[in-house]
Amino acid sequence: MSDELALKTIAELHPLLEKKQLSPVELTESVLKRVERYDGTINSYISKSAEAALAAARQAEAEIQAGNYRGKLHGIPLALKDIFDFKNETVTIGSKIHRNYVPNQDATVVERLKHAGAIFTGKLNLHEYACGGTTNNEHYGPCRNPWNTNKIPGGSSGGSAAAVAASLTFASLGTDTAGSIRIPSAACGTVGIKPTYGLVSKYGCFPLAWSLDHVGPITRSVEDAAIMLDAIAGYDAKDPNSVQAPKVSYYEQLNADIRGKVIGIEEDFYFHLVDDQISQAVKNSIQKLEQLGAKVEIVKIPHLKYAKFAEFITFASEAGVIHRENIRKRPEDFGTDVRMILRASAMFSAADYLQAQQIRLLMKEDFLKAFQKADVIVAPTLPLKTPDIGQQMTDINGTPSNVDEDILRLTCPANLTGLPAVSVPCGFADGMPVGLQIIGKAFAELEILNVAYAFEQIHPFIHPEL
Amino acid sequence: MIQQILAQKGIIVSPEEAEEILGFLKNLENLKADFDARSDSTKDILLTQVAERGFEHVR
Repeated sequence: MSDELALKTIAELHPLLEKKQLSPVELTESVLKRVERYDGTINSYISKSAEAALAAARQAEAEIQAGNYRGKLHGIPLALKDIFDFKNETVTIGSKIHRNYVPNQDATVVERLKHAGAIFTGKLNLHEYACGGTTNNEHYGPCRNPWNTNKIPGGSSGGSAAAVAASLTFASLGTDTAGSIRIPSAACGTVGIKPTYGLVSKYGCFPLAWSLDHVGPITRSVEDAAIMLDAIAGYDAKDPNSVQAPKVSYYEQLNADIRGKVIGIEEDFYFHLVDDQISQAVKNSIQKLEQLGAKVEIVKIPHLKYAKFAEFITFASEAGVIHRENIRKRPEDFGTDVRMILRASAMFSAADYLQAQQIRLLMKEDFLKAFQKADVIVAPTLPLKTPDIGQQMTDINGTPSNVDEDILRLTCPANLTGLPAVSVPCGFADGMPVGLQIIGKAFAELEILNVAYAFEQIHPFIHPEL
Repeated sequence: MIQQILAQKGIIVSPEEAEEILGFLKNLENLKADFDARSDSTKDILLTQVAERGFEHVR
């Protein structure tokens, strides 16, 4: 019985909670039992808070029984990437250096989820300081992919996607600087949305690179992603990058009718040097979207070929500033890969950084032109099959590929441009999930969610066998 | 060389680490080689755009 509850979606559960047909305590216990049973292997949690979660569940139950139902997240157990400030709780950011960091206030997204009545069962594993795409964390152990525990879950929000896929939480929040929500979502078969830059507050979220960082949900369904986004989106005066965008109710307005929508396909970048099985799964998905009534247009985005350069220069330069003191004074306290990138960033010049910003501008102009022909652009999320834990080199159709560099190749353009993008599961390659990436115009979250929702009707979430 | 430059910036690396960083930097250079080869006039226009329009993302 308890497993049945833990495997459900928020969209299935909230009506039961509202009608008092389900107890938040029972629901929380079901998740905590699964965490105890399975997370010893998966290692998606850095810290657990079972007692606090049960206390919060009892409070939620009392509130709902008293007629004070707050909304769709009231009484829902969640666990977030361990990068968001929680007042008076330890937040590690997946690091040794910050392992005893205790913030004195909540991150804005945490505050909003608490206000919505969510319950927190713990904090989830991540790549150290969110600075990498594998979640092979040297300080807290590697997080493992629920589909194959020898494989990485992707990263940096690997604990979030692994926990959601394994039903060790109903939903999570991740951060995304080069693809860190979408990469693990693709690898673990979950839904992950990186919203438009400025739509979701980053206040109280430890930065990796301030001009590229985004916060967004990871869930088992598009409906749940919309529910989470409804709870966290909106202007925040405490975040200087926050934008006053029109308020949209994503969940209430979800619509699977995509007849007449124009799907842009960019082939030179998004389908170049992509694993054949992944490419085929995505092309099959595009055909399915056509069968649902969408039209396909070929688009050109010429400056995408410089995206990897612009991404690495920008994120490493900004991260190098954030960690400037520690990388000089205590380099041995960083993991090997993070230490290398932070040291390398000291070699970049101002000209490198400015060239990267020029490229971003040119890419934005390219995308604007492409969106004159298309409503959304559809592409693979990852170019490579899910690597083994610790694997540094792989191959793409026989061509050698560096995992750290290539894992973010197809996701980073949405960070460089600030455009919204969602990854949804669309098939399998060698038994591992494949992600379909849907990129939209600025603040067109509803549009990309609708396309994802339409696709989900014919390709729903599949639970991994644990 | 990289070891010396980084040391001047207060970052001490081993020869092996310097080699790894050098490989990474060379990869990055290759990724934008033909961007560097654009005409000077194009660069001037781009720099003007950045100066006029800033680095903001979506507006």
